[in-house]
Amino acid sequence: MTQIEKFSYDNKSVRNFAVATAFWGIIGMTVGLWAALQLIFPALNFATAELSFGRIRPLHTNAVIFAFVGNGIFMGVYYSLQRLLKTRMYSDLLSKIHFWGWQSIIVAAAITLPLGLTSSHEYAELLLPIDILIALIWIVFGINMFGTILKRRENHLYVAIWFYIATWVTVTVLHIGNNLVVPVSFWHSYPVFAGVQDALVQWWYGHNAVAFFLTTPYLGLMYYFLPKAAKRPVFSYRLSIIHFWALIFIYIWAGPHHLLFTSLPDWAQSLGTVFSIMLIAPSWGGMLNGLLTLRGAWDRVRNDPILKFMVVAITAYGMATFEGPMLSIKSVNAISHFTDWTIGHVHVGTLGWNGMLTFGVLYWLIPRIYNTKLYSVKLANTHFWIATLGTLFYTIPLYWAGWTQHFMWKAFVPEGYLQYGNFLETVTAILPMYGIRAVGGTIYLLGVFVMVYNLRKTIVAGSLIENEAAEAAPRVQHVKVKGEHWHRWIERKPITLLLFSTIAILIGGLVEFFPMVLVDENVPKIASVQPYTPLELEGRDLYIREGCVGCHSQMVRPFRWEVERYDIMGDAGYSKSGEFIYDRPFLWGSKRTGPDLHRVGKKYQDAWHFSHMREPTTTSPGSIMPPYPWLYENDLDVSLLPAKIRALQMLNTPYPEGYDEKALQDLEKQAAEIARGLKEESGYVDDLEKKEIIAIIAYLQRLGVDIRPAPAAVK
Amino acid sequence: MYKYILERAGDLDWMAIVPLLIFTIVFAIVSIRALTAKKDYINRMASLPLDEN
Repeated sequence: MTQIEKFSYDNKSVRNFAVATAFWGIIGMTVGLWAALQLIFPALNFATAELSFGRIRPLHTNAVIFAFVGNGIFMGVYYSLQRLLKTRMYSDLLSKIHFWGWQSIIVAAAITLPLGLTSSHEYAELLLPIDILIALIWIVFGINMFGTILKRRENHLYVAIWFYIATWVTVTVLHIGNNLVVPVSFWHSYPVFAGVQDALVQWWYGHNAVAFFLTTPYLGLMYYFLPKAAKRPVFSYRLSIIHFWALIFIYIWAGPHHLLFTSLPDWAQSLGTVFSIMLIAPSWGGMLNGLLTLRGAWDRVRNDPILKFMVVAITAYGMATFEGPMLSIKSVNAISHFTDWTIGHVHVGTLGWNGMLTFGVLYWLIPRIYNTKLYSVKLANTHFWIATLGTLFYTIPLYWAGWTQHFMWKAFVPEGYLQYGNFLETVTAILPMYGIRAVGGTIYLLGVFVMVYNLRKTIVAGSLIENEAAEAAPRVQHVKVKGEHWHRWIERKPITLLLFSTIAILIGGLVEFFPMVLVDENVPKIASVQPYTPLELEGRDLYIREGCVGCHSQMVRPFRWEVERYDIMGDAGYSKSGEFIYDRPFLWGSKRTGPDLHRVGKKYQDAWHFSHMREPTTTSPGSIMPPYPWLYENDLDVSLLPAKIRALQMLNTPYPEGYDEKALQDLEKQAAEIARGLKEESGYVDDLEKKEIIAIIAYLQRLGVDIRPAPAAVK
Repeated sequence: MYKYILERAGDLDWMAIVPLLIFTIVFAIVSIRALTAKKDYINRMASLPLDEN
């Protein structure tokens, strides 16, 4: 007879991650709400640089993705992994380092992003020192997870664990790939890739951050916690095998659908579209597998708020993963891209899928590790309805806003002019929708407070079982039997599973990326396109610091209505890939709350920009762009200029040899010229030529002019 | 060297076709094997989360 071993599960780490999930959820959503309110009341940034929309928008996205969902993932993984493998986590010390390390990364993000320290790569905004910390903590998590898997008592790895393994390996690859930079100083660095290539890497990362941070780990949680809550096994384990391999193989290819109709070569766009459409199959396979798990238990859904949360989460997953492929069809994407439709789509996934599943798991897990009952089922039901209502009030107005924007952007009058030639008209038209969205966000956030109250009461009533006693037979090494199911072999060998998952996710990335980097003709050079001057370069870094890219795209797509609107001189046309070869990082953006800026150079005089950024409503009455008074007070910091020039030279930007020594001279000369022109019209700022605003104006005036026939005309 | 090979490759269609084929083959094998797996094994795997001890 086999000896039964006694051991205990670590619930303390689970509790810590659960508390962090709720805490950062409230912080991240509050910042999001604040950003949403700033779009209606720009004054809510209190004219403070650190609180302006461009800087807190990435704070919101990072907080909800990596702090709220991130801690949610770890909470679920630490709980389920131990129980599925019948063993305690590999090392209590590593669990502790993982927990506190991850929280310190979040704190570092919360400090650096408002300070304007950003890479501007969406969802990868954090800078190199923090990126290294993330890598270290992620490795700690990996060692702890694989250590647990290796010392397991259960031979087979349940499907949830495959999803955890795929998550770990893919996030590792993505994180390294999208943060390849040449450092200039402790904080500042330039990405190794420029322009189109940088865009492709970024959206290979960006899309798969959605896939492998917001989706695969949560599917793992679904496969564990849904059967637990429903008290019945998953509908089809066979389907889960197919679901897993198809999903991870296909997901990695879909990134280029974020770049449809941009300067990315057509073949890469097509690959993105094809694989995105294919994604419907595994995604819906997973959704159906989840929903059908409740077959015969639907009566319980009526009473059990946990099941309600899970059902709506899985339904939202199904809606978002149907909509995603539809948005990847080029003709649909032409409508949705750069509009609020995308924001609405994303929030079906985040509020619906991630939020609701997290709430369901929290309600299920907290009473169990505290050995008590949920304080109030009624309150949890109330939370469910509040959250559902909040999601609807959040998303529906944004769909409406997105379609309104698109149809206003492309409307022509019979004479052939744009009907809404002033972009601002298309903004003020959707402000009521932004208002309702903020109401929706408030409702959703209120629900989270209700949950926190309910869980707090539950925690007080119970007491944490830090080490939950368990027992199981030691692992019996499986002897290969002739004719055994092939997948058993993979399941028994976690390292093999890791290897196969890695191969599956690498194929897509490499096939898309290698030809882009290696074949020159994919990015046709344009002889007239020259590197930025030192002042423009500094201005560009300020543009990045202020997060201008959060509202302004730099990508005129090849549509008549875009060229007509943005190529005001009619001599440059849509954006060409060769125009971006010195753009490190690329700044195409993904949302137009304001107009595209790729052809803004020389469209207005310097004085216009000068007045506009100090108080946007003076030049554009009704504008919701915030004022940037600090640009007129701060002296431009040029201390890094020589190092920046040297770093760019290393990356083959053709500055002349020894230019790092001369750059400052050129910068001062250009700044003095711009300041002189401005003094005649607005001569009230002392040392104007030293101010940051001069550098930003220089940068904006350069945008898109290289491609125009010389000399660039002034309107 | 890779650059040379890729430039020689001319048009890049095979870049899309090969992975698509690999995917189709992997998908077919996974599906067939998953669907023909023995029932008691599948049931045992599916009940892992519910197995409390």
